[in-house]
Amino acid sequence: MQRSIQNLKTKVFHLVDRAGNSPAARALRANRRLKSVAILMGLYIIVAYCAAVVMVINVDGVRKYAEGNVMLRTRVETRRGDLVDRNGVTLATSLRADSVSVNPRWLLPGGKKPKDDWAFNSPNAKAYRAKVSTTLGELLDKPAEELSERINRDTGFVYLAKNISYAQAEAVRIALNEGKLPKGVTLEREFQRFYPNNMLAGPLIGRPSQTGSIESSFDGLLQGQQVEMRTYKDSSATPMYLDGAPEPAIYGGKSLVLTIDEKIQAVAEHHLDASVQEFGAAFGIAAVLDVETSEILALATSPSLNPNDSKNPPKYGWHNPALENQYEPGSTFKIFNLAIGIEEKKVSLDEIIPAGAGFALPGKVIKDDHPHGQVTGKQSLQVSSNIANCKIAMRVNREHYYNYLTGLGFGRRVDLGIIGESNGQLAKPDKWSLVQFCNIGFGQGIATTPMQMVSAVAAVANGGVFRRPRLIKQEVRADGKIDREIPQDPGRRVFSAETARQVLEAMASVTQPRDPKDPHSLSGTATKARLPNYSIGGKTGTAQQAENGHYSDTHWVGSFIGVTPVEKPRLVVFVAIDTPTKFDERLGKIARYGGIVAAPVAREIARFALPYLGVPPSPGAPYLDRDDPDKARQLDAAHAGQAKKAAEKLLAVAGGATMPPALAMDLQVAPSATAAADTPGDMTTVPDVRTLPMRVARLRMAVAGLHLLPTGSGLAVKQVPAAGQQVAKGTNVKAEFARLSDAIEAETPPATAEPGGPSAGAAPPKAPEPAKAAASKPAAKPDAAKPATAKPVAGKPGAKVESAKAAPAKAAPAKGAPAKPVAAKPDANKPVAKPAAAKKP
Amino acid sequence: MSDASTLDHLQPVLDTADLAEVDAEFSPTLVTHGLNAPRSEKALVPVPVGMDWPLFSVLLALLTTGIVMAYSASIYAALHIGRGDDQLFLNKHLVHAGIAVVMVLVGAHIPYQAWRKVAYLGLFTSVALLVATLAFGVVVNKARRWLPLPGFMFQPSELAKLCFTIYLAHSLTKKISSERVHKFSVGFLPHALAWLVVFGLCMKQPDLGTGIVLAVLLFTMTYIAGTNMAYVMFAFGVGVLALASFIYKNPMRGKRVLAFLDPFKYFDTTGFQLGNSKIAVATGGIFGNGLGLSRQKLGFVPECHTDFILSIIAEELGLLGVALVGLAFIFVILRGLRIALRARDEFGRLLAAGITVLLGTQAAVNFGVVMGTLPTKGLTLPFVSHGGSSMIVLGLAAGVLLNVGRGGNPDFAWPEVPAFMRRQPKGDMPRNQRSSKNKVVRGGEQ
Repeated sequence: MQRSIQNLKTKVFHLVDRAGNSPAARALRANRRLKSVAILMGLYIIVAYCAAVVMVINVDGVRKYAEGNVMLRTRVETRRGDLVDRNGVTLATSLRADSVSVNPRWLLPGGKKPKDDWAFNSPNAKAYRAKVSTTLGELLDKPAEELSERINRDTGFVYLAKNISYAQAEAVRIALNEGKLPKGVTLEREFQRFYPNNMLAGPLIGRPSQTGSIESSFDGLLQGQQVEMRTYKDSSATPMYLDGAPEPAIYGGKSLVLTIDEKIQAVAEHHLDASVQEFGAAFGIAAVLDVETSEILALATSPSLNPNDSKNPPKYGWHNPALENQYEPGSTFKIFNLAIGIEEKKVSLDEIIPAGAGFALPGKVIKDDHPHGQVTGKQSLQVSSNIANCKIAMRVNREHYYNYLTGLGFGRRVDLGIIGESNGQLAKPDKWSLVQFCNIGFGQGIATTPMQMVSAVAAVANGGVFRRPRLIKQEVRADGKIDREIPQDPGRRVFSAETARQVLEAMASVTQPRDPKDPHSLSGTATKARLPNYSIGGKTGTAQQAENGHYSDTHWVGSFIGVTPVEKPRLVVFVAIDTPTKFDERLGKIARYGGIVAAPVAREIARFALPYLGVPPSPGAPYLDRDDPDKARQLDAAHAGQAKKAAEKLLAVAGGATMPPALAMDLQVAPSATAAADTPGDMTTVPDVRTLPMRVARLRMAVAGLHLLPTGSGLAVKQVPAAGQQVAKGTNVKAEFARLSDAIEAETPPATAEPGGPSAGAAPPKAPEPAKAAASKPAAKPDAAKPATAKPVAGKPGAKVESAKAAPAKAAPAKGAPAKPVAAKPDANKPVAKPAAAKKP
Repeated sequence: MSDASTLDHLQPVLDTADLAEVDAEFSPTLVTHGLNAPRSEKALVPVPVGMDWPLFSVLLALLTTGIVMAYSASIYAALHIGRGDDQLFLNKHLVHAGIAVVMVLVGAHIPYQAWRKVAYLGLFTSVALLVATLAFGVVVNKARRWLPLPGFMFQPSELAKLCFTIYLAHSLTKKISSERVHKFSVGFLPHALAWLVVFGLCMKQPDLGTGIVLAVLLFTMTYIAGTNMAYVMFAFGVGVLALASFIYKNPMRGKRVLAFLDPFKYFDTTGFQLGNSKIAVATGGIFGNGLGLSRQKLGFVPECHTDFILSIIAEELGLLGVALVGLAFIFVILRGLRIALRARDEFGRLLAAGITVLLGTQAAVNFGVVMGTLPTKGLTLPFVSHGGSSMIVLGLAAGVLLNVGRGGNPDFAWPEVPAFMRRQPKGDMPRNQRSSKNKVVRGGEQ
């Protein structure tokens, strides 16, 4: 009780006795005040913290300031993608061409504003602009007067320099970063398109504004987007790369890897140009397609255009005739006509089709350029008989016929992804009149594009499976990763494999000359297409083009489409020469035939492309002379037999020596050298140099410490002293050399030999030219070990040269032979190895 | 009960039993000790808290936070000033923090009673230094606040804060002892005049923040000492009016007030700092962008490593980080309050209270400024902001506070002053009793 009263008293004391003045009371009051003050402070901190909470909750009103404050937005021009060929050779690229521009109104030192004493025409600003133009003039290597004239324009934007070098751009960048130049100066990242190969594949690569070009068609892919880089900045708008420096490069456009091969393209353009010029044509188109991968290896147009040169368009304008133009294919179309006939079992290769002087149809008489009485199915292609093909076509149901044509891709664009690609023209079968149907059979009344022809022939070459050709191989992202591989078209079967084989056989006959042994054989229209080591089949076409609803007398397209090698087709080569104008003396008219104007181009392209692609030579295909393959082959055969005989004779003179090992031995240590080692004093053993060429023989003698005294030239046939004798060192050894070519010429039959000789087909019509034939062979060096396994001359594996049995020695040097001494080369003895190894017929 | 706490000198007011009950109920710190001691030695002496290790730990934590955050906030400035040396401010800060820790320990080991002896000396010294600053000071940001000492830019206004606190505690203790503290001319006017001198010198720099802090010190300490509230409130009113007229007269300050009210409206000019500070706090959110990931420190928040470090803390560590710092300061205030409540004597109480108020006011004003509830002042966040003078002086202050908690040493005496320097006593009586009407008999002197 008492305690509670005391408590009450004390409480009351505290509340009431405020004036108490004892130390304890004062202390209590002071403590109370102290508490209130201190707690107020703590409360204030809490209130301020609550203000922060409110700030965080109401963040939206602040956020726009925060964004504008801290984020720096810069527009960056990114790089357009490259175009490269299948091997990575750059065909089109973008080079940095930065530009420097200024805002003359903001050419002020940092912190100054364009008003009052820094107004545009104030002396301050003028002096500062003069200073800036001097600095820029030094950096850009331009006269300061020129720059100051631009800088002093009262506008918001002026270009000072475009397309500056990288070093200059870096210098300006550094000056900007170091503050030597004011912020009003802008260094813009720009690019310029560049085509390192100029004319190469010009219309195909083209300009970004050109129709039918890769540049325009794939613009969306190639184009580098203008990206907005968002970076953090500091208060003076310097970008702060807190998350690492941004890589605008990764926003660049995609690069395209084309299926074009730069080298094949170059070769195609070269030969196409040559032909277009030789025959005075308007232009020419060549295309090379890889049958295995259905990739377009070359698509050439002549004359080409230079995408770097925007001022000089070609005659056909900024176009790509190879893809945009369509033409009437003419006789090349007979390939498909025959194929459809065979597939539909309406014709066979051996069937004899009468092809008289004309074939009358209602309203038109079909004629042949070179009339034949009757042709086989095969010959209808070989000699390109319009009448026969017309007859074949009309045996086929026209609906079926149309389906085959659409199956081969006619009437619809090939769709390489190129804008402006032509569709060709193919009417519906119910619209076909009889004449039209007949005309289609030999390629008139239908319009195709070169790529349609190529891909359709590729279907025949590919065993009857049509595959859409590819022009783009890969899309590569700007950071180097492959974005997309364009896959090969799985294809659709149009013809059976057997049909394709038969058509290929017929196409192969087109390049064959008349077989003299076969009285019924005819000469193909494209014998000029034959090339060494590889077989080639094909079809020529010489098509009149329609102009203004009528066939033109002047506008012709001579074309050739070839498949090579025939056994296992790898390439389809298409060449078309538009409107050749050269008058041919021999023909007596303008040479517009595909076999004359186009076939040699295809041959030259294939001649380069096949070995380049590593295609193995065709078995049985003869080595053909560049100028006249037939003659060369015959000469080869004749030469082979004679050379073998001569070599045997020569070896008989040498007296049982084994030729090839001896020839190969100059790389080894001569046996006589070892023999000399154990011979005492200055005596030495004479080595055997018979059958050796002079250079090797001299070497052998020198090794043995002897000296060679040669007479004649060629291979050694005699030596004195004989091999194995012990003589003093330094002795002169006499050796007699004989030319193998002389020996061969001595054996060569006279020029009047009967045709159709036993060795090979037709006899050479004129005197053989062994030297020339020999010279055309690969240059052989006597010191090469190659002769040991002689190269097959006629496609047979090199037979090892046995130790030719030595016949009794005869007077070897055939000096008395009538043939002119064609001392071609001192080592003309070499070919001996080949003929010696040659087959026997 | 009665023999437990008989205090003779309290006899006139209430009996001993009552006092004991008062102690037990209202002020647990007012517990007598030495129960078995002779009566004459028993006194109303509170038990000091002893060495306050939790407070010391929190101080160290604040210093550590300061090292990390000031480094983070100062990198941009260091790279700009230091030409590639991002640790320019960090190195300085580490040295300062080390000295500050030493000062805490030194202050905790010097008996606080010693400061009474140098209270006036300290005040005069700081006034002299402030005058010297006006004469030889270095101008930074249009303010002449720094005195270039060799190897160190000293800010005398920071020293003035501590010296003024010690002076107030000493002077008010004397007035309390003389029982005249409630008189205007004794308890308030001299201190106000002293404040006016220091305030005037600070405003000359100009450094309004220090002047305001000193004013808060003046008001709170006189209030705690028992000066009549009417005077305090009157002076406060006069001060507010003066400030208002000051702002009204100076259009620049008026703009600042407007910018304080709506910083984003005046974002390009006067509202730049506060607006950016608000952006920093707002973008920081609850958990912050992450340590070192502030964007606003890239030259947007001026003085972001010194006065506005809290905004960077808010941006990087979020409200959680700010709350931790705020809790740390609340902890410092509460521990300082506890030390003051259990101080051994009147001086100790006032000194501890003053230092607590000093630390608390600085922290509270800094919080308020950064969060936009107070107009911008040039005040650092104690122990966290970059700034050597502030850190070292406040470190010493915290040391003194800790020493008050330890109870100091009542018998401490500075070394004897040589005879020729000694002041001659003016009369027989002690000075504080000379003019006193109420003769008070000190407990020990009876």
